[in-house]
Amino acid sequence: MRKSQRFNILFGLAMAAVLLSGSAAVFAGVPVPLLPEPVKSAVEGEESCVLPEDEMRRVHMDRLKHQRDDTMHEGVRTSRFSLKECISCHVTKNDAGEKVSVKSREHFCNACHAYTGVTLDCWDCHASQPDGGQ
Amino acid sequence: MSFLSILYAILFYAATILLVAGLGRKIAQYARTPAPLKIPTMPAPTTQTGVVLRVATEVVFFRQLFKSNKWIWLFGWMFHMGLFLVLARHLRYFTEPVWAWVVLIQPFGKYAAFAMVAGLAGLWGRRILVERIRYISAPSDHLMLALLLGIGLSGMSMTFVSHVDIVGLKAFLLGLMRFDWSHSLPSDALLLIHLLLVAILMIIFPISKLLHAPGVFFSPTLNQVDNAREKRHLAPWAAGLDADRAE
Ligand code: HEC
Ligand code: HEC
Ligand code: HEC
Repeated sequence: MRKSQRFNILFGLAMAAVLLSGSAAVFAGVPVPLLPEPVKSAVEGEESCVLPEDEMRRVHMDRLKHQRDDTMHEGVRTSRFSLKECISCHVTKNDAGEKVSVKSREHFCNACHAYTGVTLDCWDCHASQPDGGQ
Repeated sequence: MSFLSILYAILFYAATILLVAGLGRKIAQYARTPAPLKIPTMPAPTTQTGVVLRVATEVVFFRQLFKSNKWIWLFGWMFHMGLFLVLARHLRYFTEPVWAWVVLIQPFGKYAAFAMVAGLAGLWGRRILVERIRYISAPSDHLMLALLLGIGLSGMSMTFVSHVDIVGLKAFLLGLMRFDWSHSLPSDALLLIHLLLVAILMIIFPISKLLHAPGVFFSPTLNQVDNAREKRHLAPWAAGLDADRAE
């Protein structure tokens, strides 16, 4: 075996060892957003979201913006993708039983958004709680 | 984990090891390659601090390229700066909690993708439209641009056209980093294509022309101080020969 070949192999093994031990050090289970159970206050008996969960994860942003544009520019006010409706089903209460604001990671919408580094300006104008609170 | 997730997990572990080990090996090789002659491109800085500044402006602004060809500079610089912001934006998938500055640059990273793709298109256009350049372009020159463009376009489609479940994606990636394989990779087609292309890029990076990224730092015409009169330049490699002759 040539000297450089031996060096390469040793180097490769060393790098792998560094990688493995580095990652193992942070082994602590995978943090995922803890999504609070939606409180079904608005629609009696409704057990699910306005779209299947899988789809909701992928399209809620586009639907909300569509709804906004329809409302703002054409005056169409349906309730399917209304922000108000989202909020009334997805109210979040903390351990003390108080409603949490969207500034907290406990808030349904912010749990995911904080997790993925998404910031929204919607709450500058819109309430994040059903009774109008921030 | 689903079968697909297992496949991608193995792919990414392998790609990461190949990228890190391959790059490390190349950098070690560059570091050990002798630079026997004093050949900085003049005018060159006369102090070490000056050299650091010179390398920095070269890496950030591509100064030499700017002096030699404005079109290549424009497209190349657009691509690289776009890529930098886009990569920084991607840190959100690997950090928990997401670092504050990464949250801050999200909107910029989003639109930097356009600069990146436009730059790539410009560079590729040059290879196809300028006859002289087309003649000297090897298949790998085209394939590399195609690969980068494929990654850029598939990524942009997920941001601007059809969203994928990036919450699930992040759980999968954090899982890979912590050897906790309980979260499956969401199976959106765009995401799978994007990730496959990225893995291919990681694997061929250490054996491709993209090595100019670490290589630029080892360029003797760029990283040498203009002090040939003050200090004799003696490469360690040549020092041995020198000592023999003195005896
Ligand atoms: C500058 C203040 C402002 C901001 C910021 C804002 N909106 Fe609105 N939005 C309004 C106003 C005013 C209406 C009209 C309310 C009405 O007439 O019912 C509205 C209506 C809507 C509607 C339709 C009414 C409803 O509740 O369904 C939706 C949906 C909506 N906005 C979503 C959003 C989203 C999503 C964002 C963030 C991306 C956002 N808005 C940001 C002011 C704002
Ligand atoms: C009728 C009550 C109701 C309304 C209105 C509602 N949701 Fe939901 N939502 C739910 C329930 C219940 C779930 C749990 C998943 C399921 O069973 O579909 C859910 C799930 C979700 C999820 C997926 C969470 C996960 O675990 O991946 C998202 C995202 C979501 N909702 C967003 C919204 C948005 C945005 C709106 C407003 C357009 C909205 N929801 C309106 C009840 C509601
Ligand atoms: C299951 C996780 C999850 C939940 C729950 C969730 N979101 Fe989102 N949301 C996301 C992700 C991820 C994005 C960013 C998508 C991307 O960047 O591709 C996003 C993006 C958005 C956007 C677009 C932001 C932009 O700048 O384009 C809006 C508006 C939005 N969400 C509103 C809401 C509202 C309102 C709620 C609460 C009712 C909510 N979301 C709950 C995951 C979630």
